[in-house]
Amino acid sequence: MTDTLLEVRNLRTSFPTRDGIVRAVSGIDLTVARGASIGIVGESGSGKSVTNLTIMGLVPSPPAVIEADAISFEGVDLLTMRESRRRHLRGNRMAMIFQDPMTSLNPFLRIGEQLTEPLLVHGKASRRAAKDRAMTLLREVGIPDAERCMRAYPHQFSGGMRQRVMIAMALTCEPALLIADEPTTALDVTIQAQILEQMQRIRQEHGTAIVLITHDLGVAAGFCDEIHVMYAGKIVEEAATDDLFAQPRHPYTEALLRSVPRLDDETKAEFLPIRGAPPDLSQLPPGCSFAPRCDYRLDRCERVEPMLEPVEGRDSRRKSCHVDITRTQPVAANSTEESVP
Amino acid sequence: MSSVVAGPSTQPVLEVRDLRVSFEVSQGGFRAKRQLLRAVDGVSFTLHRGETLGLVGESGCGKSTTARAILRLVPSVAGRARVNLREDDGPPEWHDLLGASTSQLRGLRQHVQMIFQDPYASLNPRMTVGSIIAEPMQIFRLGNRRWIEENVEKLMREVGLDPRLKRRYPHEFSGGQCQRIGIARALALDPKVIICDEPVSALDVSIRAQVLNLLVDLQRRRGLAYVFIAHDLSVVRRISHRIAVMYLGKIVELADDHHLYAEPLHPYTEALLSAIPIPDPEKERARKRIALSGDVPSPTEEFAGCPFASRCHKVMPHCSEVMPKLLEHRPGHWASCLLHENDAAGAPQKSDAASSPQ
Repeated sequence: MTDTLLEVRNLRTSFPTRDGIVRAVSGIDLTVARGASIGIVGESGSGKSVTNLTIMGLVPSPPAVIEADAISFEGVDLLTMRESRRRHLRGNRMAMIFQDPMTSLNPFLRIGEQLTEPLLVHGKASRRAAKDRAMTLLREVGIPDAERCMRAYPHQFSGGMRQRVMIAMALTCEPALLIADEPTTALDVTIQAQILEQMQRIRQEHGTAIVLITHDLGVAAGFCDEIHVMYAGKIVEEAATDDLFAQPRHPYTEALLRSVPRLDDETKAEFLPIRGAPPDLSQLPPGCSFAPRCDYRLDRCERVEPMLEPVEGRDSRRKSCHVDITRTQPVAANSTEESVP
Repeated sequence: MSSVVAGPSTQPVLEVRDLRVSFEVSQGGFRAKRQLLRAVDGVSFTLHRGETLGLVGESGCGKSTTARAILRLVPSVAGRARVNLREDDGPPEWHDLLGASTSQLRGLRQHVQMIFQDPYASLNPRMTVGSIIAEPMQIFRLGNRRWIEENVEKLMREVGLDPRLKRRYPHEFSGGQCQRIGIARALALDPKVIICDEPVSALDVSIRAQVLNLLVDLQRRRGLAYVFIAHDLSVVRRISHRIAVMYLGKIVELADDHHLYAEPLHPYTEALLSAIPIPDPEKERARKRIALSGDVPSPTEEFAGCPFASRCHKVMPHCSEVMPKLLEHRPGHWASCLLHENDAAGAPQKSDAASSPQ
């Protein structure tokens, strides 16, 4: 794709702690085209949130150590950028919405004040124009009584309404990139459906690229064109959504898909868990991080770290695994007991 | 594929009738008028031995409060909840939970245990895992120290934990393992019923499956009955024999898992099912989503008619005036919706036993 919005090369974010260096993100490449919808899927601790917080420049360093070969946004290098210029981008060209809308809204300020703030801070509109814009946005995200909403405080709203306000706020400056970190996880499913639909519409109408971080494969399947699966700070597989679900090529993706019960599955078959637990990020194994839990493990997997490489010569489809799982039988797992802490 | 969920027996173990819980709340300012919040508004169900009854609904629908009221962790204002202590298939020996004295209640709680959502918050961080699991047995004086010690190790093995870890503290365990500790503690008194309040919601998907398998396995081995409270209908479908859908303190539909998912009668169930994402992009695109407008109304509101009417996609003019009753429309399939009220099997009956889901 030619119209690249965000380009990240070999991003590494680590946190020195008493127990050693926690490698939250260890070498991530990510390319986001204008107007794309990209899913980053993984379990807690896989580094999906830290990746995006780093891109937004919201990881304080120090203490964090951030290294990368390149992070460029709209052709500008973010790595060497001064904080003051970065602040000019944040909330303006790139915006983020978080999981818990209550903790991301200021409880002391009326919704109207919080919504107009980005426009005023970035000097994009007069007070009056900002108010008009805020009202338009509130209607756009499905809040019927925008006038009253502007005067209300966050606590007067339900979770779904608050998340709508958050989305409206993120959109005030018409960003080119919207990072949504588990935006619907705290919400009920019927509200989740409404919010996701709203976000999809915004993407289509405004051409905003959306990076959706989620642990819910179902949400990613319905929302994203392209999915990156993360495990222990790395991308282990990336593919167009249809390809990924049709035939996962990394053992972790396959195991993850298998472990999730589906609403359309009528069988009472046993749940198929992934044995063991994710690794300690301060003591990552030398080879593949997933090897201890993997059913396809070879001797090599424990020594040599696999690289993220194209599958079938297609650049859009990549995996980091030594094994071709489509041609290999999994080794039967004989130990189901959890590892000793 | 082998079926893991064993068939339930016909012997009832827990019966809940017309349970009501309400709280007085004041909304708005300092001198605001006190309002009555009906958290649970007439819930009835019967749970059989070896059965899992899924209790689903969105936040605030009263599913957790129902569970807590059964165990009297919150006071109920009306209704009945009783547990059958009969071991064999003979006539039930009912013991009333809600009317029991404090000492009687303590004895009955031995038979109805609970597993909580947050595995860390529900374990005392200053106690070792061994003493957490031993505590219920000590309180009920089930045996001497040696016996309890042995039982702790047996229970730990049963839930898939290494007994050598019994001197460790909860913070040394992962979320999934903590939930196993909670399960071992619940099993310590050899209960008949375990109320599982969102037992896997806080766990990662790959760990979730481990804990769910354990619960299913324990049910098969011990003939346990579960009330399984969850908001994830995909999980509930796999694990439950029957499912009750709650909305604003009421059960709006109750059916076996097949009929509830294949032929839901209540529009709310339909909308709920259609909103759940399926990890399959092709199916996702083909599905028709029923968009519910707006939010759940406040439970302090007084409803003359159906509480769901304001959001319903099949609403009829008289829905906001007439309160629908929970009626049996097919054998074992209950729903409270005016759409189906005319074709219900048999007219509504006055008697409590006849008009409550069995």
